[in-house]
Amino acid sequence: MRHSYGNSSERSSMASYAEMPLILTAGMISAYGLIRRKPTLAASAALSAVGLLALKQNAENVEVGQSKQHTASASFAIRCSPERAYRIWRDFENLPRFMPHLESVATGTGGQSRWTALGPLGSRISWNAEIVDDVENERISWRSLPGSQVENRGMIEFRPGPREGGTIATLRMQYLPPGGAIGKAFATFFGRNPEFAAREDLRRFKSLLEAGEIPTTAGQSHGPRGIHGHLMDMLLRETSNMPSPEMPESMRRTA
Amino acid sequence: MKAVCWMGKEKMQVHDVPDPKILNPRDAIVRITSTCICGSDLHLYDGLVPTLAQGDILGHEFMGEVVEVGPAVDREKLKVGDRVVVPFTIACGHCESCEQQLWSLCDNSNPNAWVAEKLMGYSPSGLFGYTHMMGGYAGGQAQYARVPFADMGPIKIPEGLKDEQVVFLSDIFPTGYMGAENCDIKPGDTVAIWGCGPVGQFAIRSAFMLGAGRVIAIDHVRDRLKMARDGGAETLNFDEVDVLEALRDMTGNHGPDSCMDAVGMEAWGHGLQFMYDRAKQKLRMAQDRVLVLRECIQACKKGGTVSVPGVYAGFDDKIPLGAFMNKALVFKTGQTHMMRYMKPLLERIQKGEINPEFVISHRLPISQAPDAYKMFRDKQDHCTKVVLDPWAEAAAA
Repeated sequence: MRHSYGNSSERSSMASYAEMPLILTAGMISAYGLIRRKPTLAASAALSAVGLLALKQNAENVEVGQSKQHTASASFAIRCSPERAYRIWRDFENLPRFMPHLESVATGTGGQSRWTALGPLGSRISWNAEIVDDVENERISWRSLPGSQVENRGMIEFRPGPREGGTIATLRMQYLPPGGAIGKAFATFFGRNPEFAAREDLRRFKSLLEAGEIPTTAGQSHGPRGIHGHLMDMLLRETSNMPSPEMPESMRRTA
Repeated sequence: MKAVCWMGKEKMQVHDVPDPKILNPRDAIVRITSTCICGSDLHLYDGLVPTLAQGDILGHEFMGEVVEVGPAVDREKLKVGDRVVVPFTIACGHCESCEQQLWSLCDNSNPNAWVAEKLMGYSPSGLFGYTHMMGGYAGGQAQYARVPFADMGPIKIPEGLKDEQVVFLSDIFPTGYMGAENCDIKPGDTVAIWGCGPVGQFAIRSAFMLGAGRVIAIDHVRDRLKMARDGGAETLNFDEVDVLEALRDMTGNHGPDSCMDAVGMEAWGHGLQFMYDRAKQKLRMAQDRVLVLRECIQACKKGGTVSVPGVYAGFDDKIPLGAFMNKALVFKTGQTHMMRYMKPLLERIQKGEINPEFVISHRLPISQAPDAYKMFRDKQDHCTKVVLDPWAEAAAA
């Protein structure tokens, strides 16, 4: 069967050349802030740049009337049965274990659930979702209820393969980010680009099922980072795309 | 704790950093008793491998005592008080790669797999104390280290063996052994080995263990050539002879059955090719100097095997693929699949078939690590291998 996801036009998240001066200036102010140990200055310069870019993109969106919908998909081969993979995923309360941008998912009756995501600057965004399609051991799809702050739908499919006892899991996500383009710009800046997030979420799901835990270095020891070290941290998204180092919580959870 | 940190090109410093913590259920913390500087650390020291960050703790050859284990560590396999050698590759033990004993290709141990995927298509396993592309795990040139998947990698060391006898099970002995195994040695074969550093030394001895009739070792550091002869190899000094011609003469115009590159990306040599490689590396147009790899391909017999335990990092040109293809060579390489080799090689040490101590030239306190890097890189003071004691000063105080 084919999935009911349309070809939504995804805008490139890369800034165009025209935006480079803005980015460079903000980057220099941020770097100055980092050197002088003024994190607020660094952050505000970066955020203003993102904000301005977002406004610009928003205007462009309105102008050309493009859809602001984003789609993302990813696929991973996992060494476990489709039954086991399905069982873990079907309990939506498990999702925050490998989707670090989700704080919690509470399941209710009749396939309904309440999702809470961590937004920019520690804010929280919640919405209600319902299950649209559920074929045991094969696939689950869900969507947010009408009127949600974040309109989204998702589907996970489990097929046996590529060899005996294995599963190929395919995740498809489609959503309108919070605050339209500003949310997207923000998300991109901090490495939560939808395609990247879908891929890394599914990779973490695989690790959790196979290894029983998700590899991390967040919270490990290191020497003084300096400018070079901090830049590498940002570049490699090691702080934003890792499972929480909060040990007590994650230790109680084993697949 | 004290730890050796990379602060920039040719800039190592010992810093006081927080002690490591258990971060994942299968972690353990090891109090390190011996730790070494590896030849591959020198590529990092020289700033040639991308995605290292200022402040990173280096070191991937270490051993010590388990002082803490996470809640999911199988106590049958590892418990507090065990004395262990830790392999430099990190592996979960349950993915398809681990299941096939391809431990250095574990699917689940590199938290930055996406970075490696950009460069390599798919990510190999995480490594201790190496680049962030390879996981960015804090290394073992420190007083303590956090060891992920601790019930899978570390091997317990029985009483009666000194640190110096077993610490090289963490990397260079298995790496030399796998280099030799990758030569597909048949009884009586001639094996040529470029590089008589510590890995080359173990490769020479491993080649004989695997049935080689003759090993020809190539280097230009006299102490190392002597050490190679002590191990039973014939030697060639590339400062004095044309290696390709000498190998042709020594093998009756046949070529060695297999050729091993135990040098990697910072090869030395003479002539135009070397100058070309060096200029490109200096200009950051290439990560690697592929001189030795070229010679291996040229020197190898028709239908022979080229084994590459030497480390390469990037995209390189001027590799004689024509010779490689037309001579029908086999190419074998990879980071070492550590857990395949640690137990059998420990048994060989226990039986007295080999005493890895021979390779050590310096035992130093950790505070002298920055100087030791320079000494090892520049091959000063007859340096072949440095073992660091993280607690020397603490004990003296």
